Amino acid sequence: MTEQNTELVQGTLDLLILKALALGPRHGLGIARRIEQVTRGTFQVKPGSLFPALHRMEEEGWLSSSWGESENNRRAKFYQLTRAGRRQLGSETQRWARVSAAIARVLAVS
Amino acid sequence: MRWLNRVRSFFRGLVHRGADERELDAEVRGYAEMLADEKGKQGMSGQEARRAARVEMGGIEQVKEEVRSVRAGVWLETLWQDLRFGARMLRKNPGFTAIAILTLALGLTVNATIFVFINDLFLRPLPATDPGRLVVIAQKIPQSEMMFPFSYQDFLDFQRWAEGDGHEVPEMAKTFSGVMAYMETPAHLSLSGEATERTYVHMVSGNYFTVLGAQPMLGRLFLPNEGRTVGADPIIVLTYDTWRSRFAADPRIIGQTVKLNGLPLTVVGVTQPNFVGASWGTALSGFVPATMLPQMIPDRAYLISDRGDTAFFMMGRLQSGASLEQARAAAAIVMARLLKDYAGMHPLHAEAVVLRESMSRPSPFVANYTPLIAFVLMGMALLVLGITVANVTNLLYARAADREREVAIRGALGATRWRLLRQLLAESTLLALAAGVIGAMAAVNLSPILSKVIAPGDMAPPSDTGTDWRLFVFTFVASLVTGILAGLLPALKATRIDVLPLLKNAPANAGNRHRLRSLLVIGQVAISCVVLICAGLALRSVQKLSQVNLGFRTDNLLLASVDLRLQRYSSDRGRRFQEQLLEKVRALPGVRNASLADSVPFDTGKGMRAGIWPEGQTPTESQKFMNVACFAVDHSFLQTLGTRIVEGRDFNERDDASAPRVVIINRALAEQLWPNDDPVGKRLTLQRDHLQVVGEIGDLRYWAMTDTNRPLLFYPLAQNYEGNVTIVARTGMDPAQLTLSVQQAVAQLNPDLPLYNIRTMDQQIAGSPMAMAPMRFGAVIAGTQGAIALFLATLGLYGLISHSVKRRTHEIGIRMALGAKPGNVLRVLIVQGLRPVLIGLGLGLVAAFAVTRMLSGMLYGVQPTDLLTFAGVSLLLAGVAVFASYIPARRATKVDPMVALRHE
Repeated sequence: MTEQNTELVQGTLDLLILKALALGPRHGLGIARRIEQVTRGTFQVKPGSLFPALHRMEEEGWLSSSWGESENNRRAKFYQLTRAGRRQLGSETQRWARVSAAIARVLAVS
Repeated sequence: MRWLNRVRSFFRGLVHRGADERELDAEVRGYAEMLADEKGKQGMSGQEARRAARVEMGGIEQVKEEVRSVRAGVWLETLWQDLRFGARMLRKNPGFTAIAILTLALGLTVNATIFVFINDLFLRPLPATDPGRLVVIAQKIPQSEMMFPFSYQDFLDFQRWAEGDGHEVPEMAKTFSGVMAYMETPAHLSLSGEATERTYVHMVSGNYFTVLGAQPMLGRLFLPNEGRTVGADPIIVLTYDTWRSRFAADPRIIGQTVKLNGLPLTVVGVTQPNFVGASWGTALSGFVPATMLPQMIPDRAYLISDRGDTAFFMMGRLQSGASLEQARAAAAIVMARLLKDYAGMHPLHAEAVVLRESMSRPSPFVANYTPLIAFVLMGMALLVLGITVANVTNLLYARAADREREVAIRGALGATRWRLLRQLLAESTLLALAAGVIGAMAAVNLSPILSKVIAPGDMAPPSDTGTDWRLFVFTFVASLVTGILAGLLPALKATRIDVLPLLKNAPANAGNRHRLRSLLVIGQVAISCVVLICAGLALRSVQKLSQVNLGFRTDNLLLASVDLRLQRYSSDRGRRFQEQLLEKVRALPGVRNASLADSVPFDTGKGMRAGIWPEGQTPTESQKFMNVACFAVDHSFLQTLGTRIVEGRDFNERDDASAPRVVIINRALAEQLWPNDDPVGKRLTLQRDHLQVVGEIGDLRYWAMTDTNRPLLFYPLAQNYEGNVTIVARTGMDPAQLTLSVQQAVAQLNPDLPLYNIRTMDQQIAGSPMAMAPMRFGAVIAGTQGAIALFLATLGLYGLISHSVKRRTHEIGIRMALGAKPGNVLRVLIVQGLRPVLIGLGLGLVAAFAVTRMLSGMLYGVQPTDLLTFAGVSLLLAGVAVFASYIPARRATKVDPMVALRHE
């Protein structure tokens, strides 16, 4: 696998996870693969940062979790967005749009 | 942020246990397996795939550890949020907050203050080296729980076998590294040219400091050869406190001479500031070798030479690794030997008692009773805390009703029930913590006052009471538990609410709310009814007690004590001094009568003697051990007290040392000895003394005001000399005004003799721990709690009626428009308010009826169903209820019908 590792900008991981769950519940590996897939491998999320983020977001009340069966019939913990999580996704998206627009402008000027 | 990490790892332990931990493990392992499955599909072999997966993961344990630390962090953060939000809510309602905090503070203050005593009595280690290895050795007989000390001669054997070569009693040498002895005694301390002061010292064996492992702050402690030869070592080690207060912290004190009981002693050292000697509970001023006893108190020289006179408690240091059981076995061996070798010098069946030092407080004499007293105190404190928690729970319930909507909205916004619950609990816990701060501070300030009250007689309480870190830990934990207990039920109730109707602002629920409030009022009225009735009964008991006939007149009596033994008076000189003193006091202006006694009613340490029976008879088992209080008195004593002789005669001047020995007994004793006979003229045996009964008095109370039938007797001081006596003067004016002239009278006879414990009889009774104090304490606590409960009930009722008025404005407007008079409206509303009160009152009266029955043992002179108390409390509650509904109801009658009709 081609390693094209890009350091995640602080706070981006939350947004990526929220977004990855927007379409429905996924387990840990599913979330990681989904993020890899949509960023075309730019972001590879290691379990060492994925799980802490998931648990933190669950404590914040953005995610809820339940045990289920994976595609290969393995027991896995599935995460899904709560109402608060959806709201968080909305506000994070807006914030990100503002920040990236601003940075784009800065880069354009110089 | 290293500290933060530390806090986190601390909480990590709290947050992660069992189920959480297993789930986390399963989750991370599941991830690894799925990763391996993926690799397998890409063509790797099973083992290869698993290894690759693990490499990519970077270690399962590390991942788990990361999760743990994040979760702990979040946990802390939400806790912080909860607390901040809670504080904000509390600030918004200062009235509620203040009442809740004050209520809780009351309960926590009582508990913290009691804890100070528990701490002193059981928990604080003695300031000594390795105090866990110190044990107290005393003896007791099977018939009594009271422990008593050893004779100095017995101690010398214990010491020899513990510290010697270990041939004779190897068990002693194996278990003990040392045994020392001490005797607490009052002493007169003076510095040349200054007033003499009455203090307490320990007369100690030479190895006292060695066994304790103490170091001097100035000078030295005792040398190995000191304290061995009688009269050879006129030296003293002062305590730090005495050095500071009496000798102005003079660094040149070493080598100077002080006088103890008039005997010059050289100061050789000063102890460390925190050193309290071998026992808690007394402020000692110094330590003197016991071998100086014959010089210091000549008439008690036998205390170190006579094997039959027990005055010394022993303290031993266990060898490291030796158990308490081994120590007990070793002491039992020594005891058996002593009983065999010196038969007749020990009480029959005496047995050695070995206790950990922490179980021997405040004094080995009463150590067996300490746990019971502590238990009772703790029980009382917990009861108060229970009532407090109930009161605050009620308060929080009322508030939960007001906050339904806020909670519902937060629930709708996605807060979980657990989160809401935690939020509400954070609030009640904050309240309790604030109350805990007040409680701890109050306890710190109260405990010295209380220990002064409890310290017997003139003994100075220790300057350092149990207000160390343990008090703060205890109060903190107690506050946490109290806060959670008080908040739990209301929080559970508040978070179980059905969201929808509330958000729709539907009045459908209003009836429900109304019912909740009514229930609250009913509950509060019932609680305050019970508590107020208890308080009322306690108050009536106190009132009855203050009218009790004690068998003597308590007003206009001044008491003051002198101790001639400590000023080296022989009995002849002492008798002469006492005669002159009485003459002088009787001649003072304002004095109607004056007398002397070795102890007076409501003294804490008084002369009890055991064993009394009619002369010539064989004593029964109970007579052999019957305790009787003995008062050696001047012949004018009963006259001075105002006690009537019911049979026979009073003492007179002819009952002197050369006359036949006589005694006056009380009715209780007479009934014990001669149940159906006139005691006057009979003879009795008191231990080894043979006395003739010349008079009988009625009941005279000298210990607790509540008890009647305690046997006691008086005999003439002239026939039973005592050097330590109390002057009793009956005055024609305020007795306290006499203080100065009595002091001058004593100073004229002997300027070096301290007059101590000057008090009026009323002060003596008020200060006696047994006389009335428990009842008063109970009345104050129950009264305050009752007042708080009453106040809460009033608030609740007021809220109920004004809420109802608001809801019924429309209806009231219509009624008024249709011609209802304000008086009618007023009546309807007040009746509505009275209903829950009457229900609550009914419940409360029934409950009180049950509760007060259990109190009957503590009451005095009132029935547990005292009509006056029950009726008074009922009237009070009903009156308050009418008042609380009247104010909002009157507002309703002022409503303009037009406004009311447009109200909605």
